[in-house]
Amino acid sequence: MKSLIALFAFIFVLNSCHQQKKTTGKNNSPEENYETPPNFKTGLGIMNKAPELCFKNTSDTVICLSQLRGYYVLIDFWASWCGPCRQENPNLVKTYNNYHNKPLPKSKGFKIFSVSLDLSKSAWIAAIEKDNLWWPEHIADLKGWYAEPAQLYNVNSIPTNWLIDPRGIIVATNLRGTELSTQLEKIANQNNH
Amino acid sequence: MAIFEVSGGRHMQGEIVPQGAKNEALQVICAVLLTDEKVVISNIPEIVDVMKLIDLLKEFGVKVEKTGDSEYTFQSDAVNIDYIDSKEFRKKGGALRGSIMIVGPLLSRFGKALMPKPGGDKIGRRRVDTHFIGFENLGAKFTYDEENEIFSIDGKNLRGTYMLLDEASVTGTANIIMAATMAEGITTIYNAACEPYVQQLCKMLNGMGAKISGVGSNLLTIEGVKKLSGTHHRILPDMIEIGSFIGMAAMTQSEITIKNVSWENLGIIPSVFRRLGIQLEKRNDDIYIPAQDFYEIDTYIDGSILTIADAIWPGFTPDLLSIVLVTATQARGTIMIHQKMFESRLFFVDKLIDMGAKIILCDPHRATVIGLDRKQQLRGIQMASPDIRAGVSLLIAALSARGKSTIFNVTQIDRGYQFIDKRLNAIGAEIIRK
Repeated sequence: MKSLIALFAFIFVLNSCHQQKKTTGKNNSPEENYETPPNFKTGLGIMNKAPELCFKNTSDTVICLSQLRGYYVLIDFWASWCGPCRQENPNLVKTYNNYHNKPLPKSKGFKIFSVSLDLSKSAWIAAIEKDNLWWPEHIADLKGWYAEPAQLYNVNSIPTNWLIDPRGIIVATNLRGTELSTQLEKIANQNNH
Repeated sequence: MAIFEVSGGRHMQGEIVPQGAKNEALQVICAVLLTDEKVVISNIPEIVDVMKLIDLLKEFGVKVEKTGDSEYTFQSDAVNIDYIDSKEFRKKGGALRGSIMIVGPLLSRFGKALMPKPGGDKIGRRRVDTHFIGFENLGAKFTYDEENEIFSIDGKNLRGTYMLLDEASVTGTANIIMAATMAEGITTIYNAACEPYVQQLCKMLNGMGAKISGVGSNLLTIEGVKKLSGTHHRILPDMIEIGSFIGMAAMTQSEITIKNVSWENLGIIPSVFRRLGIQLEKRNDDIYIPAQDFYEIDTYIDGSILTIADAIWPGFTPDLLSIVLVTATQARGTIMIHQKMFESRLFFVDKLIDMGAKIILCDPHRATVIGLDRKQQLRGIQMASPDIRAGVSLLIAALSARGKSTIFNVTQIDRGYQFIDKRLNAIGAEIIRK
């Protein structure tokens, strides 16, 4: 008998927890569910779920790509020693300046997650400062071309990038020059529909 | 002409780093013609065919600078397109099969090119029809100059189209992709080659601003763009070298670590060597091969004799069949090697038979190898190397053999493998170049 009461009590607690969860979910607008739906496979193509990246930032704290769920994120592979990447950086900075404060539909906004293939920490940090890449998300494991993020994303050419949506799903890749801002403009305009 | 004197029977031990892939290099280096911006390529194998191609680009007016250890920076902002009409070009271009790969980029960016009659390996016919048909489909016009055996190609108005390739040719696919990057409209290539080096080229081009989708499949879609930009690209390690080192380690009972192999791009290669009974371990991105007293060839599930045949990627690459063959000579068990894609690549087995291997050459495409299981060693002999792959197979045989071997015509080996003697000597081989 005792065990039966305990069981009921347990079910009741479980049920109320469940409902609580549901109500918190309801209080927010349904648009703010940023979990990746289970039917998206992890991969590197459009409509794939972008592979997770957890690596050290410039102050040796591990940060993860998944912490930016809710934002449109540009995962950008670069290095201080890569001329074409440095050439591309002003475009990135311009787009970031334009969009980091702008609301984008069904999201918290736009962020850049920079992945460096640098070998030297000082060169990496110096280039971030020189090119004024002032967003906080910068990672590197300082292994050059053999960097683990490069292996995870099968990167053998830089600059290269992936744009993911607030649920972590890839919506575009290799946005160079003005293509990134064009793409973000498109996303911003979806709001009007 | 250089020769190798090999003292066989040594066990090697240590780490060896594979060079950059020659076949990828010959494609991605041509892609520098597609942009006026700087393109940096690292891990370039500094072997004859590649250096010849770089020289050829220089003569076109491409600025080339060595910017690091096997790294070069290219800039094609002042290309002299009239060079293709000159006599020197005909002479140079004609001597190098790799030169056919500049046609796609030239057509794409400058609207004109010449295609010399290709040379290359003496391993059966290599057709270039796929390239021709591909360019023709895009709207290029060919004129044949019989006297010089050269085609001049007009590609001023390349237009995207659908094409089904008659064979999934790697160089053909790469060439057509490069031609289509800046053609007007959308090009669809079905039955495209999908091997890692084509994927690498596509990814590099996409990084430069091209719009290629379907990368890694046999259906590629290329949306023409107006302009491409610079990039920094790294060439994959050479899977043929990696495979050769695996075979060599097993044959010579050596304990070797092959560094940074880019495992995910090796496809079926490791499992084919495992079917020969060779133990190999993936350690991070390295391959570790322990010294092995014996290795026993797998049989089919019903107990019948294993056949290893080549096939278009993701099948087993034809370039490693001769390595599998030579490795099998010391295995326990029997195997049939079936070279489907090329004829006459197996004729080098006479030399292995002279060395004491038990091989039946069934026809130009098939050989049966009855493994010696180390009951007797091969004997060192004098031999000449007919082509790149056979050359390395003979070198592996010589390294495992009893006594001294002499290999003539090692320029054939040098064409594919950079400093092979120095690199193997560093881990305990004894090869003297004379």
